[in-house]
Amino acid sequence: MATDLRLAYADIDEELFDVDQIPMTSRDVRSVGEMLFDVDYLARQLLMDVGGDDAGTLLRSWPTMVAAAEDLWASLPGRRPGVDERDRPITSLSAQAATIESSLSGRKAWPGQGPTNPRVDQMTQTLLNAAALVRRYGAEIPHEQTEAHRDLEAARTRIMHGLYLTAHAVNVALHDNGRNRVTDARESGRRVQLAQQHSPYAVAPTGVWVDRMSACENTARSYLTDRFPHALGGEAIRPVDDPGRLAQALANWDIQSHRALARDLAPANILLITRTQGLIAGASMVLVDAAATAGVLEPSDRLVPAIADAGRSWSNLASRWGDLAPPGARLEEPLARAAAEVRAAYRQITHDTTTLATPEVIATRPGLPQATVATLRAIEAGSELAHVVAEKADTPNLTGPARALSRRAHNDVESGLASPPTEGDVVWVSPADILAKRLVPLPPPVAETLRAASDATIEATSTASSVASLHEATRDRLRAAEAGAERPGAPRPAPPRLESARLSEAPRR
Amino acid sequence: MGQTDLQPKGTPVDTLNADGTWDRLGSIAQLLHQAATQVWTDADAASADSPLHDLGLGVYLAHSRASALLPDDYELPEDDDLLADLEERTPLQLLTEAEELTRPLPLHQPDLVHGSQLVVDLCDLIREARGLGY
Repeated sequence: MATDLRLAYADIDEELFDVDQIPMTSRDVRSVGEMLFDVDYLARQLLMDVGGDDAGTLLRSWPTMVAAAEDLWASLPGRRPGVDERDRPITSLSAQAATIESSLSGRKAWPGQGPTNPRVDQMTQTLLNAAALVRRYGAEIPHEQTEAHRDLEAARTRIMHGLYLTAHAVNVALHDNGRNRVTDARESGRRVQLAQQHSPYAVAPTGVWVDRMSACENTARSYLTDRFPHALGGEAIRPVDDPGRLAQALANWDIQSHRALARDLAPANILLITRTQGLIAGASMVLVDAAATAGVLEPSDRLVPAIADAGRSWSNLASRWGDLAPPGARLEEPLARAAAEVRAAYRQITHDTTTLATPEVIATRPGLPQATVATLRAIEAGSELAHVVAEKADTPNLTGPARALSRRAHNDVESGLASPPTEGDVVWVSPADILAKRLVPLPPPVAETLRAASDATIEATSTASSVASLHEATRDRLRAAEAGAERPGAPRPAPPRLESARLSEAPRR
Repeated sequence: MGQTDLQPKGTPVDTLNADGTWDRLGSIAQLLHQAATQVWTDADAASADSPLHDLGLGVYLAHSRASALLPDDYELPEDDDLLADLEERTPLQLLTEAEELTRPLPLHQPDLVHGSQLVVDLCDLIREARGLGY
């Protein structure tokens, strides 16, 4: 039309993949880059909002989305002849999704036939639109040129990123759906056989889908982290819900924290160590409570309070090391990975979706005896780690941000935690240092209270360690229960008499 | 929030900062550091077995993931007004802003190979923070 003065795509080919450009045409207003950003946005929203009720619709929509993504991927110019290593991830994902679709079709069991997920369907349509756009004009893209080549790589990354986020969201929904099923069954008095080798909540009929969607998620993630050839080469991926996961995570944490502390360690890493120890204490309280509820742990009126004291001491010490850890500080990577695995392993057994499960619920989870043994062992080892951390408080050249240390010094003196200066009111940190945002040596009150907090942690963790070690006999019972769980049909040890009233005396949230 | 209201101080070190990538990541690191501090403050005021300890550690690990993407010589901006402003926000607001800042990141760049994992972590943390009442 002579009156339509807007450009057509043919006039602006080079901007097809430019995310900053929105070519104005009479047919569509989005570039391929814009469309891929739209997919990214929708996938994020999905992941933030997803819940168990979405599992069925998401599962039905997933194969179609992967097919659309593969279509777009295939339409991108510059494909090399023959089998291209770069294309193997999307080909693999497509095959995985195709088998999911095949299993779903004509299926009467869950999720059966029904509605699809509007958000995923919108992403699918956007991917199809993008593919059509590329097919129409992509042949004119000078893909051999560096800039165009980079744009194409960016497009592939965006496609896989959208699939990764969506696959993760489907997995979250499936796990939540399993939890909901278990809760509903318990409320109606039905027995539910919890899964033993995967997530406790990967119950029928969702368990098989968790397996299959996990494979899809791993494929997409591996592409994005540049590890795909290893994944295809049969790299053993540890099942995330292995009942021995917590024991291994804590053993690795013990090794990594000691290795890190053997070096000259930045405060940010000590903050991570102390906070993770606090997490271990808190999660141990939860597990001990659940183990007593399950009848696999000898109740004790000292254990939970002692662990709680240790947890509070670690947290107090951590808040002081936090003063010395600036934003943006790097963490030792093996240490951070080990802490993340400890967190994930505890969550697997202590959490329901986003918050703590009740002791009654945790008591029914597979792997509880192994987890309880592992967590008590970690509590026992905590006192030794507290000694090593305490040595770091004596490091002669410790420094921290002037403002934070000034505030801490005044607060500690005012609250009586640090010795008051004999010379009256003292300016611990010079205003010039605060103004210039310098790193300054620890003022005497801060150094004093850091040592005091370290000593208090040693004392509290030693007490917790002693009480935990007194449960050696109980742990023998746990190990027997663990062995019984590993041998189907083997007689289980008789649970001890439960004195839950004692445990309930422990301070709880 | 727009692209970022955190003013960069670090000197651009390479081409990635031409589009503000490092400054954007620096802002994300600051937001997450503040969020972790606030969640841990709440956790310390609660009981030793509060799930907030777990959330705080998760946020701090996400902070470390964002920091690890920055160049070694990158310096975070130090703006007292800005930090005071961050203290006024809730952990959920801080997490949400951090997630928003990740949207334009060029995830295909080799330097940002773990950027997608950061996005997944942030979306998971936002869902968890909402579930814990933030």
